[in-house]
Amino acid sequence: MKKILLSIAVVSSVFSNVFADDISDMKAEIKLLNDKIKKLENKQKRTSKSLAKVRAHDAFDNIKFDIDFRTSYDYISYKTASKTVTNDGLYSNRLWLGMGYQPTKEMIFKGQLAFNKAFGADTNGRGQGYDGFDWVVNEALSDDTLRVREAYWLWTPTVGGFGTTLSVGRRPATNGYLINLRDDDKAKSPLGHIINMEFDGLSASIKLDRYISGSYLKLCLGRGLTNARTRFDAQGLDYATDDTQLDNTDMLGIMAKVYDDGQYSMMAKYYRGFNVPGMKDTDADGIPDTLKTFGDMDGAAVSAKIQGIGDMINDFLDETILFASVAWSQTRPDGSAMLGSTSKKSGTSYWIGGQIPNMTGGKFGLEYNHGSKYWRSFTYGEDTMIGSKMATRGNAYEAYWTQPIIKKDGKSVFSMQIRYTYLDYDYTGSNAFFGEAGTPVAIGSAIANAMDAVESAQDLRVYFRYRY
Amino acid sequence: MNTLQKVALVAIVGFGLIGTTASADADKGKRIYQKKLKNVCGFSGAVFAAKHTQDEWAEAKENGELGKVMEEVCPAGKDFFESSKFKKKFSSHLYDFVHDFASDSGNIPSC
Repeated sequence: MKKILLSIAVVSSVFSNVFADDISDMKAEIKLLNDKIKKLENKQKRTSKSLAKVRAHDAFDNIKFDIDFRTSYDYISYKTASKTVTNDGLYSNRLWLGMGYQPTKEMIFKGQLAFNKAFGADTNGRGQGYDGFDWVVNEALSDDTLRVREAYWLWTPTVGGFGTTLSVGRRPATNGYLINLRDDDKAKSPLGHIINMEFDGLSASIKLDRYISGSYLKLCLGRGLTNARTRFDAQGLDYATDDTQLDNTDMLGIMAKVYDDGQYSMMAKYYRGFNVPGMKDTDADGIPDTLKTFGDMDGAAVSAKIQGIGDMINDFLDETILFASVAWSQTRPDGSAMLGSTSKKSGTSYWIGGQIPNMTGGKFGLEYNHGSKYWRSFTYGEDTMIGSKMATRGNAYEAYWTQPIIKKDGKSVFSMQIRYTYLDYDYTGSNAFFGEAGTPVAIGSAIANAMDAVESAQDLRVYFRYRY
Repeated sequence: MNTLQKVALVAIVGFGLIGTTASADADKGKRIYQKKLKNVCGFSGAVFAAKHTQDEWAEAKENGELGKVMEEVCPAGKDFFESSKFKKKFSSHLYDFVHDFASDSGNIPSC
């Protein structure tokens, strides 16, 4: 027995010495490996940091382009007292080539080149009349020239603890608040009820959201028409003002995002257009024939939107949108007959609508607006082939279905829309400028006086749109 | 309850029963931030999103720690980030939003 125990002790001693060496080696190896892992982790952290720095630098070190290309089919129809005039095959392409550059956190450049053209060659002088006017040059169908639709710098310094912006350039006041819903665009700041056209000008804003959720105040100044002579002027007075031509047309606007908490929002705007143009009948043949300025135009609107019913109850109610807007306009004639009258004339308009999601990730929308006898908006650039629905002196109805077809990262890359717009006019002159052609004549009186005025118009549109 | 109220109730319930296929949406994430977090956190959604890089937000999501990482950025939003609604409904939209406007996203805000 003693021998056995002795043998076991000897063997154990030998093995424990052997294992002790192995364990010691293994511990050393594990330590080495741990050190290596630590080094690798540190290296990876440094690489990730460097990569993040490179990405952050790269992100602000190049101009980013985006593309918005739309192909549309429109069936349009106008009904007058004596006839119905249609186009059952109006096809068009619209391209917006957007760009943006932000070299520092506070300085941004944005630009957009555009063309908007009907299929086919043109023998009707398209773009050579008022459809080529600077206010609508990229909104009306034209030729295949790529024009500048947007080019401005935007400076966003913080002043006294308040976020501010200052921006100058060509800044189309299109795709504004609420009208963006049917256009399936992100809303820009103008109120789509009263302003929807292209402008060159300036804007400055200050954020007031430390007092009221989402609020800001914005001042806008625009030049709608310049009186400067042309280069190589016959009298050698290049770019000097020309008293024989139209005065400068300017616009001043003050807008406020009154409140915005992501669900409930309200915007308000007041503007004055100075020396607004219109057509005058200079040869007394009853047909306004010459563009001149007529006076000033005031306007204001208050628009509100509910985006989501209830407090995140379900996806359907979250994505449901309801809105309402009221607007007012008033002429300030300079002695000439503005909208057919030498005295101040006021007009009003209201607009209601809604949008609901459908089961396939799309949206259905319904809208209605009404304008009174002297209602006048600056919505010449609105994306409606039969004329601005917001400018309607009468009733306008619209229904649409917007459907994303291909999505990437939650964003619609390829989409379609079917939209029907019906305008039922009570008075003539809805889409005219501010002179005699804008005189409201009741449709019944116009017919009685043998004016073959448009009583109603409709547009059925189907489009496919690529955006990335 | 009068007839009009009944009709309205049936309509709302009916609409509510229609299953929408809402996918993650950065715009919705922005609205959620605006409504639920902006006042609580005390800074804008752009500032919140820019607290991390895209990779960092992605890593937090992959590790199931989005709420924890967001809470580190905005401690006052603890209740919100730990709520079941955040986990079930809001987190995917908020993730899309913060990823879109992360510090290295290069996304240029509209004015």
